[in-house]
Amino acid sequence: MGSINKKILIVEDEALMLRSLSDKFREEKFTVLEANDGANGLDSALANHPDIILLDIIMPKMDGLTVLEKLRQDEWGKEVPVIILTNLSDSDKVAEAMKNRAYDFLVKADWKLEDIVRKVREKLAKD
Amino acid sequence: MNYFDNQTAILLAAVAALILGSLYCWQIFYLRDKFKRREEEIKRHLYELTILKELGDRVGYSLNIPNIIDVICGSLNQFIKFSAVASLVVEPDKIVFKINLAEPVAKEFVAEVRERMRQSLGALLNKTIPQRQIKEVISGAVLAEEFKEPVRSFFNIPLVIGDQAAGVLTIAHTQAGLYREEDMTILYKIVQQASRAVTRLQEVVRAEQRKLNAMVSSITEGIVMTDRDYKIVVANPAVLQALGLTNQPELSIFDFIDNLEGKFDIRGKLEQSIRFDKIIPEREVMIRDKFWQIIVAPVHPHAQTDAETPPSFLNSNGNLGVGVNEEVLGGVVIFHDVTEEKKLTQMREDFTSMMVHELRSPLTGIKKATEFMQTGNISANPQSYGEYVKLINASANEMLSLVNDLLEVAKIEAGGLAVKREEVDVRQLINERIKFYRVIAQDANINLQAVVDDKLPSVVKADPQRLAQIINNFISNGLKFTAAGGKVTVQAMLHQRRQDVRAEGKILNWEWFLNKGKQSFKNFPAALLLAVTDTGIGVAEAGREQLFNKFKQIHSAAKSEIKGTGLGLSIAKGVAEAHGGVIGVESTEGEGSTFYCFIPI
Repeated sequence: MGSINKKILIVEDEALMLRSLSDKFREEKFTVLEANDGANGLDSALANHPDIILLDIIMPKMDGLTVLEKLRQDEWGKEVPVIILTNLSDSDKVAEAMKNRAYDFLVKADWKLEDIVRKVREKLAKD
Repeated sequence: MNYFDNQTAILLAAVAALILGSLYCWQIFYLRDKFKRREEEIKRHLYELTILKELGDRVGYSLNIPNIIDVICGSLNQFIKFSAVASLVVEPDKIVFKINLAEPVAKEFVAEVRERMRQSLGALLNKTIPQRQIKEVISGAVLAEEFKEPVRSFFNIPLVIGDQAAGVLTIAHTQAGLYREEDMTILYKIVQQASRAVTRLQEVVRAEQRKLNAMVSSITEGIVMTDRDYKIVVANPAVLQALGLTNQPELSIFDFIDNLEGKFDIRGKLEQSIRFDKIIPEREVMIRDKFWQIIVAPVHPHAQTDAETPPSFLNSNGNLGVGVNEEVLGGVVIFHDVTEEKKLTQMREDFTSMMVHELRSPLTGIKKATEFMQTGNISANPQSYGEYVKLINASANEMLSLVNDLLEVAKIEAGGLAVKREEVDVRQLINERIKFYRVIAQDANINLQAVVDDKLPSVVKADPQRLAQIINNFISNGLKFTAAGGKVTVQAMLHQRRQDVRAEGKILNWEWFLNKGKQSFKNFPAALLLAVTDTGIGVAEAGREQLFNKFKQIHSAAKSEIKGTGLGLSIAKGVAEAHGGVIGVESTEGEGSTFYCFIPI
């Protein structure tokens, strides 16, 4: 499948969302790293160098935009593909994230789990 | 004897007649002279009166000093002979020398008069007046080179307005010894009268101006008024503050243009407003980190005063004052600071979007979880299944308590928070609350305890559920912001009327932050004082008020590492106020805080 042993980092503060995404990607044979806030997410990303990152925007400790900004300052982090997870209400923040070269954004409520998996696979296949 | 007698008698009679006659003549001459002098005096008085009346009529309530002097000079020929009458008057930007010639004189004559006046005005003002500052106006008879007569008679009258020398008035003649003291006195009197009148008038105007300035100064809106040439007439402290012009001594429209940084075309708007006689409002202009609503309006000489005036002093055309036909004096620009309103709107929007986030986030989680549970192989894994159910349940609880909090806030705002006072055992209530939070405190390694003043009655009248709400919010707040190894203490006492709460705390030997505060609550009625003191991060002084503001709290909660809506404290405030009490916090940053509330009993 090409995705075997691909490492994905999911940064999301909503426990159920994080759990569902993680379980889904594990089912799809990804190696899944989890972080429940921005600061943990950044640490994990810089330590583990995942192949792709799913990043929530509104989170405690450090928000997704700051995580993305800090990632882009890192030698490894400036190229890592990042997909923004969003709610409808934060469109201006999404625009800001896209400026920081986020690969794409997904509105959480609209996208089915398998669609998210497909999107991630698409991106990884391109690289 | 008879003859002699007759002769002698005739002689005597003649001498007597002679004496009498000359006495009579002398008397007549004397009287005539007296009459003549009296007549002259009357003439002078009459002149004085005439000229003063004329001055009054022609000058009216004028403050225009050059104009007044022109009137005086113009009427002088009625009573005094001169070759020339001249004035040297200080105007704001120049000094004007005006000379009116009654007969032809040489250029040198004029130059001499002018020089003498320059010297005497210089002496009055105690400074040298440069020649080039003087503007010359010559009128009347011609300048002719063939008349070489110099100035032979001359006198100066100083013109003093208030305490300030405003100019010099001069009479000059080519003939010598012409002017007597009476002439000078009259002129001196006239000038003095005129200057006194002007001084008084100026004082009235100044008093009015002071009133106006004081009024304009105290207005928090920035106000700047210009005349038709955009010269600044009035600029109040608020507008100078707003545009950073406070240290500018002389202000011109260009200072305003510069400091508005191209955000607002003040000159263009004034021009439009004056030309079309229209009020121009401008919403939300951002200048120097603040938002301003700016209104530009024309200024008319007379504001409308008749009965038809709408109460807003704007007439039906939307003009200030009546005068469509009247000449517009200038324009006024009013800067209204809407930064706070804008902030409030922003806060409200943040609040709404945060609420939406707080509800949508767990709902999306539930949606994703149930989706995964439907499609995945979760049923094959009972442990995982159980975990999902637990998470869904927690999410539902979270949303429910948020919705409840929002409803409470809505009730408080509507003023409909019901308080059912009954007898409450505060000690028992506190113990129950501590029992409820014990597990969380133990998990966080925080020492949670209670101290209650022995003098506190066994029961007080209050709403037990509402009191529990306050204690809950205080405790959970304290636990959130206190690190492991710290302490959270619930405190309760009976605050006595007229007592200083800081002294009361000292007697009880309580460790808290109320003794660090300025408030004594001395004028407060007897009350149940509930407090929760923690050894947490503390609250900066600037942020204390806003902790109890639902909008603000929600905003900072998003940024902090502690998740939560932050509605608890604003609800606690509503509950305390519904009891007629007060709520607050005292704190030392880095050491901890005491959240307190007084419930009058």
